[in-house]
Order: sequence, then structure tokens, then C-alpha cells
Amino acid sequence: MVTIRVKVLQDSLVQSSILSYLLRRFGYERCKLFEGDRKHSLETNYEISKQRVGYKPRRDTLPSDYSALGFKCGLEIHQQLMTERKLFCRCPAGLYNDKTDYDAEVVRHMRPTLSELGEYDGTALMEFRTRKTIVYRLKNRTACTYEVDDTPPFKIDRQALEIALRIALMLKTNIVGELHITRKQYLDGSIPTGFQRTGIIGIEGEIPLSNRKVRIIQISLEEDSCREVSDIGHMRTYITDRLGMPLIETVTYPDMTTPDEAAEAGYYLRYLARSSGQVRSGIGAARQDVNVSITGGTRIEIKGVAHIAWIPELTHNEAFRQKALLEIAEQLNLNLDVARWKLIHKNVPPRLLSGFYSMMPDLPASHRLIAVNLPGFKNILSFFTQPRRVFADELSDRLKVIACLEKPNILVSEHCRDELVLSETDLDSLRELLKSRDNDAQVLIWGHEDDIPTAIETIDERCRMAFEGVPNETRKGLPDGTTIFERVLPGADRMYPDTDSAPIPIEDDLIEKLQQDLPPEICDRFEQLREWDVPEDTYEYLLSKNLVPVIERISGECGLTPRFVGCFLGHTLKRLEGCKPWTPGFSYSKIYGLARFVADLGLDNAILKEMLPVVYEHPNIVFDSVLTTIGYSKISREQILSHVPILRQKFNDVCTSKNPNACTDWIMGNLRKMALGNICLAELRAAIDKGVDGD
Amino acid sequence: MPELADVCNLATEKLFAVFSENMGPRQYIELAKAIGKEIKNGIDGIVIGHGTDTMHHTAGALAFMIQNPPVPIVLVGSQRSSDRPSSDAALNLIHATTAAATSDIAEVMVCMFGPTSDEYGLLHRGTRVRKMHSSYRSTFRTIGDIPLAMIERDRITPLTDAYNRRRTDREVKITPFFEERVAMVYYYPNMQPDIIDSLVDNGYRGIVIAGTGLGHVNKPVYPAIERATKKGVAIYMTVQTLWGYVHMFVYDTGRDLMARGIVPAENMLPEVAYVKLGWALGQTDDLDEVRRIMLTPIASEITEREPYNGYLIYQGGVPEVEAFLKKVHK
Amino acid sequence: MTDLFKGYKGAALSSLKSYNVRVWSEALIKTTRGDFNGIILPRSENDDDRHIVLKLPTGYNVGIDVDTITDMTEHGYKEAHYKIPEKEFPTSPDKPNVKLFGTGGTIASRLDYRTGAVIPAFSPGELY
Repeated sequence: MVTIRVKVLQDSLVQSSILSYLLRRFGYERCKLFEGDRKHSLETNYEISKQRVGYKPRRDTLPSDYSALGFKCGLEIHQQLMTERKLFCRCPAGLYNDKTDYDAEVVRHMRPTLSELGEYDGTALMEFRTRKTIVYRLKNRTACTYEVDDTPPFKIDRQALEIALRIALMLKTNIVGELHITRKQYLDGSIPTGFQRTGIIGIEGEIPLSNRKVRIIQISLEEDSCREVSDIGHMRTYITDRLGMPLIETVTYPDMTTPDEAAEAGYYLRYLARSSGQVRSGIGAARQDVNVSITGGTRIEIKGVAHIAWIPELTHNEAFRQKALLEIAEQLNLNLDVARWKLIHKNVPPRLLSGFYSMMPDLPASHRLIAVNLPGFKNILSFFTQPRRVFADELSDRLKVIACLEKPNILVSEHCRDELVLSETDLDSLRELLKSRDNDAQVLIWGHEDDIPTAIETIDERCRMAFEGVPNETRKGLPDGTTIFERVLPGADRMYPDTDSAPIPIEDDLIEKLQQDLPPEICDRFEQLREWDVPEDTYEYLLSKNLVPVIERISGECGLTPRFVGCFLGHTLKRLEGCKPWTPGFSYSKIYGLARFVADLGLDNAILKEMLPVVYEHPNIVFDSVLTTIGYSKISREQILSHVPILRQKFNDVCTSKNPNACTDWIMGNLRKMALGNICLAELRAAIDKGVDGD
Repeated sequence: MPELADVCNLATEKLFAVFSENMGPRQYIELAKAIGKEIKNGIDGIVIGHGTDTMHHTAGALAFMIQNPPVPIVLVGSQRSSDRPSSDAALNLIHATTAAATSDIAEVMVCMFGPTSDEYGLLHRGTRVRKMHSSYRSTFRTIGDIPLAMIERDRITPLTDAYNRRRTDREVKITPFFEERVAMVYYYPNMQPDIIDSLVDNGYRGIVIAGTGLGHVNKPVYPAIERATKKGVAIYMTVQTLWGYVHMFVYDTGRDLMARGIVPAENMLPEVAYVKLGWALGQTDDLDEVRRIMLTPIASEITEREPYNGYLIYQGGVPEVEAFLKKVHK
Repeated sequence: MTDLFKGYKGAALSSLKSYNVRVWSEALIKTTRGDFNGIILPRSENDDDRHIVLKLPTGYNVGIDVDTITDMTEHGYKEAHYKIPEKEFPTSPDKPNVKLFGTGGTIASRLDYRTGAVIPAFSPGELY
């Protein structure tokens, strides 16, 4: 452990000094993305290749453009369940620790296992090649010996099973007769066993979107993975609090044909799960994996998309990245034969690179600087792949993940983002060293000598894949809508029966019991909201928080229209939440109580909007005092209206406005506070307009 | 596992394919003979892949059947099968082959995880080791002593110098005998004499009792014990506490039991006393000779002294415990 | 004959026999809970006699309650032959010689990937 830590520290020092070298060389402001770099804008290879790919921003892309690409998208939605305990042990669910707060650490390494056919899986070998040390942080309160794979699983949590079954019924899936726990291998270390325990609850369901039905492949019940703390060099650290919490995974067929449709399906599935009232919400409680492919491309899985709102941009960019990689393949195969293609690499002798070494005199003795010549790759490294990303990033991302070279880890011969580009003099030296020809491209990499063979292999492998098009891999979505390489897509041979668990029969009685108490369908909820005339901008909020039943209860029992309650929650409450999280003690039943109170006193409901912020801040306050706080006093309609003539007179004395409503607006403004709760504001306005000024 | 080729030239042979609960005298004998043959043929070290549940029984049996071996004999197992990515099998095998190939300790040993982390293994003496957790990776503990050595991929660090050194000669004594009619009885309060009687009536020739505390059983059992020893059944006393010696002079109970012919088995672990008694009775019918064999330390199954800190340290990667204790209690 | 229905007994065995569907066959099972398509797997002998185990195309296993089955048809057959390749262990004269004896146990056991049973099969050749 100690030796590892020292090495990591050293590596990160090296990396940070390289970063500072780059910053010094280019200056801070030049070390940014080059799209805004006007000097080069249209003539750069990035721009030329971007046009060749036909990339357009999403707002300019039509559904017909997506169908021309052959865009297809499917979703895997993960949703944590609201249970007391974890799925296979008796630890509490839903408790999180600070990532730096732990009682002990356990160290593990993941080793590939032989598949059914006696072969090693591609991902497996790659993950092993990285020689990662995985450190798990344990807190006694949230993890036991099960989490670190020192105890076999206990019986499955019944609560989780019933919630999962209920949602499977809502998805109209075929429920299995017996739940079989399966091990799904993950070698990234996110689960200490090296596999996730998961089981199919139902298969073949469907959800109705506005334009089409989307078919569901399956819904499974599974245990959640660890949260990553850090991943530096050869050490990846996880915290185990979330590990083992029950979640359901809903997988759709690739039925979505545009990015917006993908998001629509995402929202629908989220609302559906939430409408059960038995799932968790909040950061990390729901996560999406998005599968995208285009004609000629490959199914790429974008993992762990935190927000559904990100899906359209991510899938849009991924579709064009695949298009770009297909263009690159076409270009390469035009002039080169992959079977005879061979990269050349050489150790760079000290001092050869004046630019690099003058700024990096302290490259540790254990580190190597390697120059690589890529024959025929001219204009490929700077080829557009995603907005602000080029093919060189495909190399750099893999060097980080597979060879454990922290970024920045590469400099290239072609103009692209400034921080990736070799200086002219260094480039000349390298080309001479490598005996490069005009059509070749060069890259410079550096790192610990033990990692260099893997690094060279990684570059070779990725370049060869470029001849074929889109490599199989999983990618990580970033907030800016682009993605980076995460792992090679695991092969099919990674599902094994869990020998530690007995099959669990799912009886007809249980299904019938659950069937009797299902919430209305989400498409009916939409219909309901439209019928109530609730404004559309509130739908996402109301459905993701499952508030339709709350609207029904408050409107039904407090004499309010559903439209009013919908706005009250979807606008007023939402705005408050935007400023400040819920005060402990605040709840939807407080809102109900408040509405009841106002109804019982016979006050006008507009006052609710003034009272809510006070209750939101002080949930335990007596509602009477809220009235005092906001300065309410009971005044009759007649008294209020009696002020109108005087105000009208005043207005006429001072007004110069041509606006015909100006007078009424001004009087309303003056009377609003007095009127609130005592008279319906619309009614007051009508009265002023009509000139009924009281007696 | 390509790493194994970096350690040694490994030849493999499948003797049995059984879970460890199905290992028994027949297998001990076959194994001891096979190992004897390999030693004669000049092997540099032996590794035995074994189920973990009864690994300490087999280790004990081999320690008696293979006396004074010139090379390391290392038993190894795993708590997680090798089809699991986080299995301890690979690292345990690497540790065990490294120990067999390069260590200077020529004894029968068990090599398993020290802590639960993939950090280092411990080499436990075959007669002083016991499986102590049903599922934990670092399930094996040396009892009544400290482990022999710590082992990492590239390094073996002895924790003691009291062990038999590797030799180049091929002299080894194989005594492959075992009397199967030996039983072990785990004493519990209110145990009835018929438990002992039925063993005797069924022709058992030896009984090891795991007694309470310093080595006790209740009074109602006394007559059954007297009857058994008079009929020529060898009865030995060990302790359920596992740690510590049998001391039958401290209380009357102990003295009464010895008067009825029970022999205290020093600090032999119950399972070790069981295999040793089977092995001793396999060689001779003479109860005095059996007694002499039982009480003569052969492979540290009986030790003269117990290290004051054995109970506290080197038991799974927490040497810090000793540092901590030093701080708290000067 | 019984091998065609490996591990099945009682109601589950009768059901398979009555529809003439074997273990390792690709089958479509129609049930009151919907249709299920997959490969019929052997069943662990200690499990109950009321379910048939099916491997779905996604690789997951599920159990089908025989009481819910309304029809079952076989449309393919694919027996798995699982064998781990044995490789020659490389030797070099400057390395010590070590003999490994296999007796069984978890270290030597592996999953029967299709049925899910842990088998104490041990082939030391697998080690390399």
C-alpha cells in the first residue's frame, strides 16, 4: 500500500508539472478549446472534416437527418428503490457517508475469468492489463462483510422484490415464475465481488409515447455499485455506502429514432417509477445508460447519464461521432492496407526535444518519452469526432484508461487543440528520428517505463480499429454533451448463475395482490393534467415528484380547482425549492393542512401563495401566526371597494399613460395586500373595471 | 495464470476431486506416499490444492506422516472460486508456489490470505493452524503461536527463526498409517455418559475430548470414562478455548479425570490431537507407546512455551494492535 | 432417457414430457403470464419440481411456473460442451521444480456455467 501511494504521488507530480509546462508554453488563455480561435477557423482540418461529416448543431437537425443517419437509441434506466435495507444483506439502505469518512480500507484486484468457451473476454483482458489496485472504503454503519465479498448473500429483501414486481406490472411485462439471481461481471472494480447480482423480474413490456409505442426488453432487480472516489494512475478508490442498495433496471428496445424521443422515453420511465411512490429520488437515485447506433456504426453505450435532459445532446453527438469514425475508416482504406500497416515507435533520446525538455528537466528516471510514427495518418489525428474533439482524443482517452497515463498524456503532429500540439522544432526532430514521410502523423507520449508497452499497444490497437469504423466500447457522458472512452463493451459471456442463491418462486397470489393496487398509467396522468388545464410547463415537475395524487387530494378536499393546485405546486413550490432545500419537517401534508386551514376560514385561495414561503421556512408554525406574519387582516369586500374612488381620483391626477389598463393596474397594486385572502383578485379587478366603486 | 511460470517449473497431478469434507484417512495416506515419492525424485517444493474446511486436519495428518521433510510442503485453498473476478485463488496460488519454490522453511504449512485485502499471505505451521471464519478470505489463524512467515509476490519475511531449514538431502520418513476408529467429542454441559459408552461399544479405540476451560467435563461422564480406559480406549483431553494449554492439576475435576485415565494433550489443537491419535493408533496397539507418541512433540503440535503476544498479533494484518496496546498499557 | 430431462422431477418433468421438450432445446413457452423464449436448462436436483429453468437470449436465467404453462414448443437444440483448454506449462532449467497436487475444494472448483452448479472438477492444466 505504501509503495503504491508513493508512486501515485510521484506520477501526479509529474503530470502536474507537464500541465504547468503546457500552460507556460501556451499561456493560460491559449490553453483553451480552439473553436473560438478565429485565425484558423475555416481552413483547419477540424473544420474541413466536420463539414465532411455533415455535423450540424442539434437545433438545426431534423428528424429526417436522423433517419438518414439510421439513428437508433435504446435506454437502460436505473432507479433505486425505497427500502429499509440493502438487497442481499441487512445493512441500512439510503445512508451516505462523506467520501473521506471511513473506518477501514480493503484492497482488491480484479482478475479476468475464463468464459464458457475457455476464452478470456476482451474487456476482461484490457482491465487486467491496466493492473489496477482497487481500494474500497468501508464505514461500519453502511457496510458489513457482505459488501467486501467476505460473506455470501443473505435472503433477498422482500420489500425490494415487491416494489420491483409492482413496477414490472406497471410496465406490462411478463412476470417470471421464479427469480434466478445471475452474476453479471464487472471488472472495473465498482463491485468488490467482480460481479453484480441481478435477476429478471419481467420481460417484454411496453410504454406509450406520443408518437409510438416503445417496447421494453426486460426489467431486473439488482444491487447498486460503489461510488467512485478517485481514479489516478494505477489506483482506483471506491466508497461502499451505496453498494448493495436495491435498484431496478428497465431496458428498452432501440425503438427511439430521434434524440428527443429518447429523452421522452426516459422521462416516461422515470415518471412511471416515481408514480409507484416507492422509489428514491435525489442525486444519483436514478441514472441512465443510453445505447446509440447509426447505420454502419456500432451499438455504443453511454454510461451513467445523470440527467435525462442530457440525453438528446449526448445521443446527437454520438451519432455524428460514429459518422465521423466511418468517414475516417473510408479515408484510411482508400490509401492503406491495414494488414500491412505498422506503427514505428522510438525512445526519444534526452535533449532531442528542446521545447519539451527545456520545460521538463525533471522527468523522473523511470519515465520514458516515446515518439510514435503513424504511417498514412496525416489529417486523421485532427479529424473531427465531436464538437471540440478530434481523433487524437480517442487515443488520449484510451491511454488514460488502459495504460493509466494521466492526462495530458499525448502531443500530436497536427493542429488541433493547442494543448495537444507539438512545437514546430520538436516536431521536426521527431520526424527526423522516426524517418517519417509526408503522409505520416506523429505522436509523443510519456509515462512510467512499465506502462509504456501497454501504451504503445493501445495506440496500435486503436489505430487499427480506425480502419474498421466504430469500436465496441462504453463511453462516459459529459455535461457539455460530448463523451469520452470508458471501457471496451463487455462481451456476451459475462452472465453466470449465482451459485450462492436459491431461486425465488413468484406466486400468482402475490401478483394478484399487487395488481389490485397499481397507480394510473403515466399516459393517463398526462391526459388528466391536460383535462384539468394545468399548464404544460409544470408536467415534468409534477410527474417526476408523483404529485398528481397530491393535487387530487388537496383539490378534492379543500375546494380548490386542480389547475390552481397544479400551479401552486408546479410554480410556487418549485420556485421556493429552487432557492432553498426543504426545511426538515416540511411535507406535502403541511401543504394540505395549509389549504384546509384557508378553506375552513373561507379565505380567498390567492393568499396561499403568500403563506407558503413562511410555512416552507418554518414548517412547525401555527397557521394563524402565518396570517399575522404576512400582515393579513380581515376586511370586508365593501370596505375594500370603498377605497377605489379615491384611488381612481389620485391616479387621474398623476397619470400620463396611454395604456387603457393603467388605471386598473395601479389601483390593483395599491389594494392587493388588503384584498389578498379577503376577495378574489380577479373579481376585484372586474369590479374596478366595471366602475363599481362601492357605496 | 501466466505468473506461475515466472516462479517455478510447475508439474501438476490430480489425486482426487473432492470437497474437503470428503477428505479422510485414505486420502491422507495416499497424499503422504505421493509426496514422499516426489521428494525422493528431487522435487524442490510441494503445493497441495485443498478445500479449506478441513485443510487443517490434512495439514496436521501430513505433518505427522511426513517427518523431517527437506522441502516446503504447502497446502493452499481459496475462499472464493476462481470463476469470480475477485477470487483469492490466484494470489493464494502465487503465494503458495513461491513459498514451495523459494522459501527456506521445510515444514508442512498452510498458505492463505493474511488480511482480507489482496496484500499478503501468511504461512501457518500445519499443526498450529485452524479455519476460524466460515466465509472470510483471511479465515486461517495460527493458534497458540505466531505464524511462520509473511509472504508477498516477491518476498518472504519470516516472523520467527524457529523452523526447520530447507535441505538438499532427500531423507524423509513417511509413516502412512491411520486408525480410523478414533472419534472427537465436543463436550457440552449436561453431556450424558452414553455418548462415551456408545463409542466404546462400537469399537472405537481412541477418543479426543474438547473440554471446557482448562480441560474439563461434568461428573456424570466420569464412570463412562473410567469404563472406556479400562477397556483400553485411549482418551486425550484438549481445550475448546483453542488458545492455551490443558492444565488438569488446577481443579479437582482435572485431577479426578486424570485418575480415570484421561491424558492431557498439552496445547495440541483438538483437530490435531484427533489426527495424531489416529496416526499413533495406526502404528501400535501398545497404549504406553501411543502415550509416548502423543506427548512427544513431532511438528510443533505441542510447544514448550506460548509467546506472550501470539494471541494478539500477526493475526490478519494488524501489527498496529500491538503498537496500540503498548501505548495504552505500558 | 432421464438425461434428456436432467434434474427435473415431478410436475416439471411431466410438463416437459407432455410437450415433448428436452433440456438444451430452444423453446417457446406460452404461459398465463405471457410468452417466454429461450433455452431449457437442467435444473438443480435440490430445487422444487414446479419450475422449468430457461436461459433468455439476454443471458439471464428465469424460472417458469409449470402451472402457468399453456403451451410449449421446441424449435432448436443446442447442447453446451464446456471445456477449458489445457496448455503446456513452460519450463526453464534455472527455476525450481514444484509439484502441485490437486485434491479438490473451492480452489479447484469452478462453475458449471450452464447449470450454475459448482463442480469440484480440477484440471491442473487449466492453471497456465
